[in-house]
Amino acid sequence: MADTRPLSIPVLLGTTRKGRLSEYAARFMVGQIERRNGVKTELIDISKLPMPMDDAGEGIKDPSFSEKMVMADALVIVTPEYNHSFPGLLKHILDSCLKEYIHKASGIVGVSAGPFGGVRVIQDFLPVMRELGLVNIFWDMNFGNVSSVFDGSGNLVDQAFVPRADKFLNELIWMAKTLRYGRDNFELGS
Amino acid sequence: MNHHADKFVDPVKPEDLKHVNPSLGGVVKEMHACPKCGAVESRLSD
Repeated sequence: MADTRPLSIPVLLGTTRKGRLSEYAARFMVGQIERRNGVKTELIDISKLPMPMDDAGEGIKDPSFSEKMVMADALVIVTPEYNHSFPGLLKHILDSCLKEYIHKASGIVGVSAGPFGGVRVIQDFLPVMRELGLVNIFWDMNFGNVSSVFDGSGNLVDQAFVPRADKFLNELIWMAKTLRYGRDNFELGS
Repeated sequence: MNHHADKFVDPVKPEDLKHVNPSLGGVVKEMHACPKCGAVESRLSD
């Protein structure tokens, strides 16, 4: 029987910092995903999530976030690079779930004020994704010098990011479909 | 539900201890997915 469920690919905006330009990158990615048939998306802003600090891991699981991760087939994580790594609050939120991520696709969007486009945060992030059970694709998005990529209203200035996002999403959607088929049809050890 | 993954985890709660696999040195969490609706669930392997 053909699977008629649309793919769900939410975009996680992984910083709470005031004035964050990562939000422009996240909204751009949402717009690119919305152009795809058979795929639904939404922006999940970690600054809007309940974030208790008196516990950690699955002890702070938010039911709404958990449900969104359950229904997700892939996850786009938009992360700035802070001191060569990812924001601690992004890790705090990601650690609140586990079963929700297993054998699902992920892609990382790195954002930086400098020229490197978050390559260091992406390198740092890969072992975390692996341990969470996410299967990360080998296309990344690198928004270096981000203040020149978007104008002050968040409109894309550098149109080269459109075909880059297209390649990134082609790979992510392929991986999401493949992993969904595997989760649904292939039993472990079969 | 389709059992599609096993995740090795360290026991964190007292009740996890009875699920420890001595040969692996920890607990195996089974991951299951529903082919119809996409729901997921996990349970500790005996």
